[in-house]
Formats: sequence, C-alpha cells, structure tokens
Amino acid sequence: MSWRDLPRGSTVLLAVIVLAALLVPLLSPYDYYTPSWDELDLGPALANGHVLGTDDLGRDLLVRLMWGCRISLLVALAASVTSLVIGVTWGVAAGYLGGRTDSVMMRIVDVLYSVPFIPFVIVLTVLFGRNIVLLFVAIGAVSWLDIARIVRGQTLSLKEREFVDAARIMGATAPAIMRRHLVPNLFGIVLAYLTLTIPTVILIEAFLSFLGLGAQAPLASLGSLIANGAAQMQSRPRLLICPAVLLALLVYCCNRIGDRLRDAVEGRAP
Amino acid sequence: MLAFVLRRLGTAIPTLFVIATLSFVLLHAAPGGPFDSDKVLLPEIQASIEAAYHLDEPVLQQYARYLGQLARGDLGPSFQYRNTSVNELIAQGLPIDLAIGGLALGVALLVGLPLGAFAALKRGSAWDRLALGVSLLGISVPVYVIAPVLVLVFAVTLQWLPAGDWGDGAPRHLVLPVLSLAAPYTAIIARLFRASLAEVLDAPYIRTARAKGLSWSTVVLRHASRPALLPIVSYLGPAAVGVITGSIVIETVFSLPGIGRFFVAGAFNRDYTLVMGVTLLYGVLIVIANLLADLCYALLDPRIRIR
Amino acid sequence: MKRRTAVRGLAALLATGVAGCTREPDPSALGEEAGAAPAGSVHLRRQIEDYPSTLDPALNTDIPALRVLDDLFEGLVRLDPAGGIVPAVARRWTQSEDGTRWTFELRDDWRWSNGDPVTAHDFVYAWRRLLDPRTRSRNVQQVLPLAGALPIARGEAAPETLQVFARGDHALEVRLEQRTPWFLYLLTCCFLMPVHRATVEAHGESWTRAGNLVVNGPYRVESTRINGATRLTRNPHHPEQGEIAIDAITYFPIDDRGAASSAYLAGGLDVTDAFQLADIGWLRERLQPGELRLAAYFGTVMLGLQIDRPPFDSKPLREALNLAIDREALTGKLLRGVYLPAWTTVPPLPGYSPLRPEWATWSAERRLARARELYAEAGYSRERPLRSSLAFSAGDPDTTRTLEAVTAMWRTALGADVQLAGEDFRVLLQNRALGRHEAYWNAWIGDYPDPLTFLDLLRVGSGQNFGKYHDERYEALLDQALASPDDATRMTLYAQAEAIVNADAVNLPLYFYQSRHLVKPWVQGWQDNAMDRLATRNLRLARGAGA
Repeated sequence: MSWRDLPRGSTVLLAVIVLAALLVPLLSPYDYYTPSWDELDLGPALANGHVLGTDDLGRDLLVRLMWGCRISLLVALAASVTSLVIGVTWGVAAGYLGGRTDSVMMRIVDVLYSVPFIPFVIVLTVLFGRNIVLLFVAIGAVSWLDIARIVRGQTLSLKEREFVDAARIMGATAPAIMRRHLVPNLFGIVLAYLTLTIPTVILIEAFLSFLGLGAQAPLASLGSLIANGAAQMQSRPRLLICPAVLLALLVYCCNRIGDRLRDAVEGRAP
Repeated sequence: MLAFVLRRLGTAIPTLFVIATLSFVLLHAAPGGPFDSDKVLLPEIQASIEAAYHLDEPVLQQYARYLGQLARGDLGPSFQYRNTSVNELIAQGLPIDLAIGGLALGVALLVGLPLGAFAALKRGSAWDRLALGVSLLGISVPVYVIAPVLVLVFAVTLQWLPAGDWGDGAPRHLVLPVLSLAAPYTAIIARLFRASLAEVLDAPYIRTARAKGLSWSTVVLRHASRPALLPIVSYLGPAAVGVITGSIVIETVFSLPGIGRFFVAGAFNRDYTLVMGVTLLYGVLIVIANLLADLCYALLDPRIRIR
Repeated sequence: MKRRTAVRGLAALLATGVAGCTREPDPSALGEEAGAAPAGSVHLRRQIEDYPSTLDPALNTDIPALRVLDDLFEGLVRLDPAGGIVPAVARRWTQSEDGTRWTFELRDDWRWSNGDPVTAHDFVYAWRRLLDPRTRSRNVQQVLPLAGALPIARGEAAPETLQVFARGDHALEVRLEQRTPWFLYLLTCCFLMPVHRATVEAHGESWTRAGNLVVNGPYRVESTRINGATRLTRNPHHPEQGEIAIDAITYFPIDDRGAASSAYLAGGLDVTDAFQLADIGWLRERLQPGELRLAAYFGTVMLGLQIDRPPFDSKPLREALNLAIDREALTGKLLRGVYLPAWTTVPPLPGYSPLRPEWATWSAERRLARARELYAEAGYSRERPLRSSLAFSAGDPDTTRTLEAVTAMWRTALGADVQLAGEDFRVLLQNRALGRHEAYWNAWIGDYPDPLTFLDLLRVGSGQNFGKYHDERYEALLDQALASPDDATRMTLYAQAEAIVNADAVNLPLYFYQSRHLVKPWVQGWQDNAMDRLATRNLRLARGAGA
C-alpha cells in the first residue's frame, strides 16, 4: 500500500477542508459566537468580509461552518480511535487465543450486534447530558464490532505465519506477540476501516445533533448547523445548503479514500 | 437448517436480556424523573403518583418486577400516556413502521438493483463513474436533509403531495416518507450490487456462457444473479436496522404516529417503560431481520446448506 | 426478470405520483379520506403541538389537551371569544358581600352526550374527585381557594367535607376560603368541569377512551389515535345547537413548528397553534393580512437567579446584569418584533399595565455605564470576571438563540463569563427545585387573568420561590390586595408590590409572550385573547371553503 493508491481528487479535497477548518477561524476577524445586531441574515458579500454571509444571529457563516467542521472531525476521530482501540484489542485477542476463548468472545460480538445501539446512544445522551466527551465515547462504543470481526479474521491468518512461530520459540509472551508482531501487520486494514468508520461516525453525530443532542450552543457541529438550517430552510436556504454540502463532501471524500485503501489492502482491483 | 435456526435463536435470548438490563440500568440511573412538572405538587400527591407506578420501591425490586412482567409479555404501562399500556402503543405504531420501512427497502431494491446491474454491465465507462458518484452522494446526504427538501418542493411549492401526517394510510401520504428513507439504501444497494455483479461477470463460467452464444440478459438473470445477490442479502440485515433507526427522523419530519416518535418523546420525558419496551422491540426486529437474511442467504448459496 | 420488475416498479411509483397530483386539496375531501366527516359537513382542521396526554379534565395540565378539552366540556361559565365570562351551564349567579359564598342557578336543559341531564351533583362529584388524593391530579394547587380543599388534598379529610353543596338538581352553592377575584375564570378551567359519574364508576381509568367518554360540551370524541389525529364531531345533545356552525374537527399533533407551517401552506390545516419565529418575515410575504396572528399572551419569559447564595446573593450584581440586557435589540431585532420587551414580571392585562423602571428610558450608554458601576460595586471587573452558568431547556431553538444573545451581551458589556448549559426540560425542573442552578431560564404563563398568579411566585412558601425570597413589605401588600373589596385598589397595591420585587432583581424579565397562530382566511370568528383560548364553537367557515 502506497501513496499512489490514494484517489487524487478526494485526498486533495479532504486536505483542503481540514486545512480550512484549522486556519479559517484563526485568520478571520469574526468569531463563532458573538451576535451582531446590525448584520442579521446578510447574504454573501466580500465587501464586509462575510464570504458566505451571516446567520440569523449575525454571526459569520463561514467561521461557524469551519468550527462545525472542526468539532465534527474531532468527534469522528476520537470516536473512531476509541472504537479502533477496543475493536483491535478484542479482535487480536480472540484471533490469537483461539479455541474456546475465541468462540466466547465472538459470541459476545454476535449478541452485541443485535443490540440496537442508536437508541442506546440516544438514551445515553439524553440522560447524562449533552457532553461532547460522552458523545464520542458513546459513539465509539457502538462502532467497534465490525473492526473486531475483520481484525480477528486477519489475525487468524497471520498467526499461522512463520514470524509468529519464531517469536514463540524465542519465548515471547502472548501479549508481547500480539503487541509487537500482530498489531503492526494489521496496520493497513485497520487504516482502511478507520477511513470508512469516520464518515459513519460523522453521520451518527449529525443525526444526534439533529435530535438536539450533541454539540451545545453556541458551539456548533455540522450536524447541529444542518438541523438549524433545516428548520429555517424555507426562509434562509443558505443556512441549510452550506453545511449540508460540506458534510456531503467530507463524507464522500472519506468514503472514496477508504474504498481505495481497502481495495489496495485486500488486493482487489478497483 | 433447523439446527441453524435454533442456534441463531439461541443467541437471541441473551441479546434480549442484555438489552432489557442495559436500558433498565440506564434509565434508572439518570437524573430527572418522569413526573417532574412545573406545576408544583403537594408532596402527598407526588408520593401517591410514584407509589402507583412502583417508583418508590428499591431498584432491585423494580428490576425483578420488570423481568417478571417481560416473561409474561407485558411491557408495562406508559407514564406519559395515562391508562395506555406500552403493548397498545406498540400495536398502534408498529404497522406504520413496518409499512414505511418495508416499502422503503422495496423501493431501494427495485431501484438499486437495476442501477447496480447497469453500472456493472457498463463498468469502466463514464456511465459507471456517474452511477458511482451519484450513489456516493446518496450515502453522504443525511435523510433529514433530503426529507425537508422534498417537502418544500413537492408539498409546499407544487402542492402535489401532503406535507405530513399518516392520513390513515392513504398512499399519497406515504410517498415522500418512503422516498426519503429509501434514498441512502438505494445508493448502497446499487454500489454493492455493482461490485459483486462485476466480480461474478469476470468469472470463467460466465465467459464460457457468453462464448456459447447466450445473450447478456440470460447470462445476467440466470447465471450471474444468484451468486451476485449474496452480498445484498447479507446486507439486508443491517439495512433493516438502518431503516428502523432512520424511521425515527422520518417520523419526526413527517409527523407520523410510529414507534420512533414514541421512543424519542419517551426518552426526553423519562417514560421508563416505553423506552425499555421500544428498545426491546427494536432488538427483536433486528434479530428477526438478521435471521431472515441469513435464511435467504442459505437458500441462495448451496454451499452453506450442505454444511 | 429483474429488468421487467424494475420497469413495473417504476411504473407503480409514477402512478402514485400522478394520482397525488391534485391542486390545493379540498379540506372536506381530506376529511373524507380519513373517514371522519361525511361529504357536505363543515370540517375544521387544527394543529396542536403535541398529542393530548389525557382527556380527563381533572388530570390535564398541558396546553394541547386543553385545546381539545375546551371543545369537549363546558362548565358553570365559559369564555367568549374576547376572553370574557359568559353563562354556560349556570344561568345566573350571585355572591355574598365578603365574596366567600357563591350561589349558581343551573339550566335545566343541559344534557350529557348520552342524553342524561347535567345536574349540580355532577359538579359536586367532579370537584370532590379532583381533590381526592386517589385521583392524583396535579391541578390541586389551583383550587385551594375552595373552602375545605387543602385538608382533602393532604389526605387529612374526606372529599365529602369540601364546602360545595348541591341544593337540588339545579342549584349549586360554593364556599371559598377568602375572596378570590378570579374565581369565575377558574370555573372555565378544565379541572372544574363536571364529570359524568356513572361513566367513571363503570370504566375506572379507561373512562376517557373514545368509546366510553361522555361529555357535555359542543363536541364529542369520534376517534383518537395515539400520536395521530383526534377527531371530534358535533354533540347532538348540546342545548345550543344553533350557535355551533362547525360539524367536525380534526386535531393534528405536530410538534415541529416548521412542519406545521408546511402543512398549513400545503393546504392540510386551517389553523395552527404556532409558527417558527425565524419564518415570520417569509410567512408575512406569502400570506394574506390577517392570516398570521400575533397577540398578547399572558406569560413572561425571565431569567431566575438563585439569591440565597453566591454569586447572585449580591444585589448590585443582579442589578448590573439586569441593566446590561438590551431588551429592545433582543425583541426588536433578534425576535423580529414577535415578542414584547419586558422590564417587569407581570404582563399587560386589562386594568393593569406593566410598570417600567426608570432606567428603561435611559440611553444605552447611560444604562451600560451604570451597569458597569454596579458590577464593580459587586466586586467584579474585566480582570476578575463573574463566572457562572445559565441552565435552560434545550428543546426550543428560539430560547437557545435568545440566551446566546443575552450571554453575549453580558460578555461584551461587562466581561462576565456565563456559560450556557442546556438540559432537558425534566432535568431542568428537578435541578431547579433542588436549587442546583445559579441562574436558569424561567417562563411562567399565568394560570388565571390576575397579576397575583405572577406575584405569588415569590411569596414565602411558593413552590416556585427557589431562592427563598422573603420581603415583609411585599407579603403585607399582597395580603392587603387580596382583602381589598374593589379592583382599582387591588391593582394599585399589586403595582406597589411589583415595584419592590423588580427593584430587587430576583427574576430578570426578558419578554412577554405572544400567542402565534396561522388562520386561513375562510375561518371566521377568530379573536385573539390574553389567555389564548378559543373554543371551536365560536368559529364559522365561510361558504366555499378551500375552493
């Protein structure tokens, strides 16, 4: 797997979005939370510096959009990493230990597969407050099952390889083998699935924000911006279109990149 | 076959138990009770209400009572809707969810499969890339963006269809909700089918069939479809799950009296029994959906049957 | 095979679409589809913001159910379109000199929807049932003026000890604890409606189901569907048939205000119960004048402060925060003139105009300068800012926007750092009652059209007095007001009491509510009133509705 495997257009676009999310709030004279009474609902105009116009509280839309992007990406990354950590640990352990342990661990995964997690996440966030940290832990705890399965599959095939035998003969303990030999070899597939989990998580977070959970005002995530925009769609379509387009682009790029990476790792032609 | 079904059901029971326990724990651990209101109550009234719903008993006792009720199939009374049991609420709302969800999956298959087949047959061409692009967009745009846009266009501006409400099941009330819900699944099914059909069409036996002079349609329909459909069938399980959770948003936007709306309102209003009951219901639906998908898979793939 | 099914499927979809192509759906046709109103009958479609949680008049506490109940039940008296009191089941009434004894003479031609006559005994039964602890009604607090009510509610006395007596079938005598100027209004509230005893005794808790419910109002229930439409039809036993123009009503529960506006514009509703603030400019452009209705509503939105501990036990700090809020910008610009700015707690009412503190007329610079002075006096500055949090119910985007603006005003003017903490409504209530919030959003809609319903909030012992505010002069003035025999004196005393509590800045009022409705031009007889209650019997549909 190399740099050449990445789809050019999507990678560049994603990089641009991430850079913008980091830099625009720093460079812009406007912040995302101060209302401006005289600048309510302005359309896009370069003259006063509001590139995308303002929202219904007079705040600059571009800055809010970029902040929203930051929050969404942050949550997505944190949740994905959480699910990754749990999933990889679980999968590697089950695959390597094999036998009854593997059977039990995978049975647990099967059981959890059927638990309707979205309702639980809703209940969690409703009950324990609209906390960003809680949100990504909850989402992460929901998404680790797929990764666990894939990783277990890969581990099963990897553990028959010679370098694992060699390590065992040399006296390495099971945890050490898992950590030092198996995990690094899983890097490719894990990365591929990570890029595919991120868009799912972004959409889950957006869904929760739509229901009113998630990022707290005046902070915004792409999801809450979209929810607000959808509510005012008839009078100010701009407030819906801009975050929706950005979300779609983000998810699209991540999906494309993830697809390519997965194909490359699994040796399939695109 | 029977052993297979029994084994799957065997996994179902612990699942449901986990769900019931998890939801009970979560709801009771959380702040905010179901009967707080800004009309301040005399303490005696407050106590009397709580006693009537057994909220004054120790938690373990409430849990035991709940499990006992579940075993009898009784999901308990709703706290929000006085004098209505959760079973009744589910009985009223479930047909709506099943109708909309079923129709949405149907539309997704009806539209997605031909699209995917078309893209597979024309693979590598500009048509193929266009189809892929459109389908990726379908996945990237959330349902709650599509739905209000559809309402704005078809209901408010063109006035062709109603903006919401169940209307006792009249077809015109179903069109927009079903279309909004079906969109992302159409896209996913199209993509999946394209990928798997393309793979199958590369196989030697297909080339042999073509070499023997069979037309494309015969080849696709008779020889390629069965193996190509396998990933679709195994996707139907998760698709059913997605349709169930997606219906929460659809019901909110279109004011449909389905279970998704009960669930969200119940979570916000701390209607313990309703939330637990609906979560269990979702679990049951998921188990059934996965079981059916696995059965179809087994029917389609002779290798599994032999095993 | 696949391609053919695909084509068939597509054709089916198109057919559905084509069948749905009708212009401006005819309102009575929609009703027909739903099986409620037969062709030719006059049918009204109203929106309510939630599904009615109960149709038991003694138990109901929410507004959506109140709309439906206002059409199902009528009490001793009822409200006319302007909000005044007119006779209903009671033909005439008198009160004693000291206002504690009332006598009502009932009509003898009033019937329940099953034909039984409505008698004074039905009222006695209903009111005893209301106070009976076994009924578990949450409206008990409001009927405590009835003599003997409190011990019954506490479970210390039997319901029969309530001082309400039926003197024969058509005369009712009611004793009150003390003079209660809003007593007649209370009689129009749903919890004092009569109840059909035989039905309750036969069906117990299920007596409000569609098949069992017996009512005495202009309409009765035809069918209900949880989270779906509630359908009412004309009650043929109501004695005033000639005055009732509309034959059938369907109430649609739509909690999303944008969806409600969409349904109204798409022709699916005749009356909505609200619309989104953000849409107001756009709606005004699209609708005819008179369709978009905004009227004074007897409620206030304010910020409550926990005054029994730091930081808000400091009066200069509270005053500083109060002065730093630019109410005119808030209501005029942000809320687009939908709500009226409030500098005091009690909203406008006939006979009572809200006071304005002197500083309301100052220029912005003067007001902010004074605010900074007070802020400094309280010991804060930009280097040592106030740090606190403001809790609110996170469901309503209008509230969120308002509070974002308010905290931003405090930050800009004073440098105060107040964070917003959204919570669900129930959690907010619980935490508020436990005194866990330093500052919180508080909205109060008056229970009855008298300033006391607001002024009562800060009396010692009130369930809403979270900060335990206690001022002797305040209490004394309110007691005096209650005891005074004429309205003018009472209002003056109220005003004096309010001046005290406003100066102390315990609650920071933001704005007065307005009721918001969209009403189709063919709906006639609609009048806005301060309590925002308009029973459907007062409405007519113009000929050729929906054409």
